[in-house]
Amino acid sequence: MIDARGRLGPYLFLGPAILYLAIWVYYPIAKNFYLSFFTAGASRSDAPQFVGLANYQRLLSDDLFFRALMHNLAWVALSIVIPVVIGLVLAVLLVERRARLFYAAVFFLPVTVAPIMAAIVWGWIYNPTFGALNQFLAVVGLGGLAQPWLADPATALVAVNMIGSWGYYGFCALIFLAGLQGIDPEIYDAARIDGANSFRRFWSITLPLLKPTLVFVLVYTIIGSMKFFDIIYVATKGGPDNSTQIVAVYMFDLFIRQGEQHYAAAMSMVLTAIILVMSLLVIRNATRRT
Amino acid sequence: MSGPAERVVVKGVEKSFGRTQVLKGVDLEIDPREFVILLGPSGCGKTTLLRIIAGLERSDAGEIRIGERRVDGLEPKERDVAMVFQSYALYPHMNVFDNQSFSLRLRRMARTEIRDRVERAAQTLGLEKLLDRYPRQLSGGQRQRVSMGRAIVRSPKVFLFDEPLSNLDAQLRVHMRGEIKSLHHQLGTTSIYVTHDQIEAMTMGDRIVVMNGGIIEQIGSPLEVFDRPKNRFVAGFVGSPAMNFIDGTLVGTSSGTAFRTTDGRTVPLGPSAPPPGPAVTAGIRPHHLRLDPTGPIRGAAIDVQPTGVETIILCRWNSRDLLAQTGERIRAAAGEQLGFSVDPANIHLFDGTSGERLAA
Amino acid sequence: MHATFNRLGATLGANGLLILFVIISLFPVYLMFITSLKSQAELIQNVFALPRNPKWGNYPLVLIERSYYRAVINSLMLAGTVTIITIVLSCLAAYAFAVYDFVGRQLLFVLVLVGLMVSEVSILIPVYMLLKSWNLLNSFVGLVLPQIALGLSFGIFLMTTFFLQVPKDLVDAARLDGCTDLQLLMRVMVPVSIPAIGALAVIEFLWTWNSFFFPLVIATRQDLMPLSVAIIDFMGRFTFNYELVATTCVIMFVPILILYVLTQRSFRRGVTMGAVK
Ligand SMILES: Nc1ncnc2c1ncn2[C@@H]1O[C@H](COP(=O)(O)OP(=O)(O)O)[C@@H](O)[C@H]1O
Ligand SMILES: [Mg+2]
Repeated sequence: MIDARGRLGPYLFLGPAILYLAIWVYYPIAKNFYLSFFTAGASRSDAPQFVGLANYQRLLSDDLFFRALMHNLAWVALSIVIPVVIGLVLAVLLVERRARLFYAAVFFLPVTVAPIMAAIVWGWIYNPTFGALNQFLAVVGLGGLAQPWLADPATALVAVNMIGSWGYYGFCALIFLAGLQGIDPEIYDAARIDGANSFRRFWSITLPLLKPTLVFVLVYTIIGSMKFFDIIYVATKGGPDNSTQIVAVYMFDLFIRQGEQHYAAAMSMVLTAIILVMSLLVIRNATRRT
Repeated sequence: MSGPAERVVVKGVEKSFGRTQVLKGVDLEIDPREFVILLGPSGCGKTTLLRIIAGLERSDAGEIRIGERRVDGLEPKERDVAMVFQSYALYPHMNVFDNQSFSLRLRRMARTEIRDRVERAAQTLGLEKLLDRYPRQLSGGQRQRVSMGRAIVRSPKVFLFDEPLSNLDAQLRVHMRGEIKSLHHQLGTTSIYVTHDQIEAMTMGDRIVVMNGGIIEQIGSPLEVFDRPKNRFVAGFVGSPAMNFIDGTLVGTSSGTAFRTTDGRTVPLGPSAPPPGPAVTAGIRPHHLRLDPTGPIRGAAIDVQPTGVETIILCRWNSRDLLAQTGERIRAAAGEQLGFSVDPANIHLFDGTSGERLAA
Repeated sequence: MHATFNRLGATLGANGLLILFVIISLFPVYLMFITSLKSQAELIQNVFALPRNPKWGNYPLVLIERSYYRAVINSLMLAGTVTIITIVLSCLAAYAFAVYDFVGRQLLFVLVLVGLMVSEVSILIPVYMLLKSWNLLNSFVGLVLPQIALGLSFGIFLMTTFFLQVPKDLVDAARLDGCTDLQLLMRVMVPVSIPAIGALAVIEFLWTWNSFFFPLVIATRQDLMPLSVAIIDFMGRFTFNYELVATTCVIMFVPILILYVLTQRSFRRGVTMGAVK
């Protein structure tokens, strides 16, 4: 690496990107923080008023916010239990196959489908009158299970999460596949000679060696689940009866529909902080135990 | 195709990476057209010195001159030096012609002139048929040649080589050694060549610069360095297999000064030996030890290794290894006591504490 | 005997699972295509079957009569512009990080990495206010500017890791050959890193093409909407016109499908390169 003592070169090359991030990322974060300590004036022309932590206090007593936050956490859990695990299983099944890239390409196809499109198409699949899911259940003799999946508060959250999962397991599978292919096959041979069965090999070799990949996927899943928006906005708008309300959708509604920009700013600050803390906890725990 | 030849002067160059000082004041003068070898153990700062001369690294102190010009503040491209890397560093996205002409194109040289120069270089190096190939389509030896071609098309003032042959197999290495040497005869460009290979150092250079731990231990012609090593380090580092060292003192005898080993044996020294004094180390190259049942140097054979050309005898003497090399084919059982003698002229004496060569 | 039987069972199970997920992966896409060609009546009769009389006319209807060609052009322009600018800025910054050692390098790189964790949700409000005060709401520039910010950190990170893999000797050789910084970047680093740049390009294009959150707030005028927002706008007005909604979806998906089929390897590389650090 070239020592650039007293030279402008590197700064000139970095300048545009850093300036860009400063205007469109760092400044907005700071501004968001700033906004969260104010409230709108009594009338449109009045200047915003400083209210200290009042917006944050309001958050603490906002039941809908907590409900939305719980839904986000449930979303994190569901996204780990369903697409991440499916992705891992698929990758393990694929890693030794010759056609693995073909399968991986097919599984990745849903990832390229825009979330709003997935929400629309799955909306049809879940549709109570002509939906493919209920018709399929009828055909296999489980017609009794037919539901208005997205319209019933009892099933809506899981149903809508399935839409997100559909667009995510292929992503996980591809990344795990890359991680698995990075493991030296001789290690498996050695383990086989040592008498480890396939379950044991997975548990004692694959998982530990896949750890960096797992950490990446976990952090990525947490960030993605906490800021989730598109699919819920299109599929349920947080309904029915707030059963799929999540923080981003709630915040969006407060800001755009109700003009509560200061309160919404406080909410997005809290969300950002939670994302940061959760990610750092995962990373720290993962790096400590090695 | 004779390039400009310039003097290179390195004066008081120091360099630290963080807290470790890698170069501790290096002085070196290289004459125009000279081929100088930098030899030293791995990590002694050879590459760093080369990179400082090239301008790829800044020195903390000292100065560098190429010709009359002081270059230490200049960018690499302003210094007009070319470098051949151990990894060849060919541009993978350019074919051989483009690799060689890249520097000329950057200088906006006329197309015809570029073609002319590249073709001449290709001829010199036997690359005419490969100009359209990409680096990945070349063998190791061919890549090596292309990287030399890239250096010579520019007719730079100085060539810098950083272990250019160490990625080649033994046979090719011998061959390329000859080619680089004849290329230097042809072009006469001042060259600095880094290696840790003994044979390359002995056979290729006009002078060898032996480095160790960021300082220069000795500068001299190959035979000077080999025959009259300035200190124990040079004596031990130059030459393969390495010199044997025996500790002892110098004592006066009726026939002049002699060397007395710590276990009490006396080895006569020549008339020019220094006066008796305190602790010294005697150095004897393996091929100077002659099998002689009555010789003063004795050891128990550990292993006898016939290589075909010669026989290498490993002995244990006074809890130290002793290596002898002889053209005869001999046999000895392990544990058998062997005696050796040595011509006094072939004994190197070094101060027991400073390791400096004692006047002899 | 027993072991063979077990292994057979395992193979069957594995293959069954893979086939199941092939079906799950493809079915919604298949459904989208066939729905776009069916009449309302046919849709309710049988959702699974291929259409009996494909209504190809839906496509010209949506594209031309309902002017959706404009949304297609908007999306192409948006995704294309964002991709190009992101790549340029990423390469410039990555060059500095990968080739130079300078005061503040570590700190600035961490700052860039922080950008990876910042989502559109965290910056929506100030970005909206900024665009409003600069009169950029409902403008192409207003759509482009914040969208770049979302992928820039990833781009810089990806290109830096790739530029760092360029052998140091190659960089040194180029400097000795006489490259200036810009020449070193354009004539050595970039050509050598074409696979990485291709990967970044397809990923960035896909993200922007499919992006919804910022465009939803920024483009409220129909003639400026990219496809994602246009489709939702269309749905809002013709919710039960399933076949036409499906047609717009297919129109939005086909370019990505083509890109995906043509640049498989780049997609794979782009997705996995970020993960394998
Ligand atoms: N860029 C660097 N940063 C830190 N230490 C370095 C750097 N380059 C070289 N060194 C250290 O400097 C010493 C000399 O290195 P080098 O000049 O490459 O030795 P040689 O080429 O003689 O083997 C080594 O200990 C090496 O680890
Ligand atoms: Mg070296």
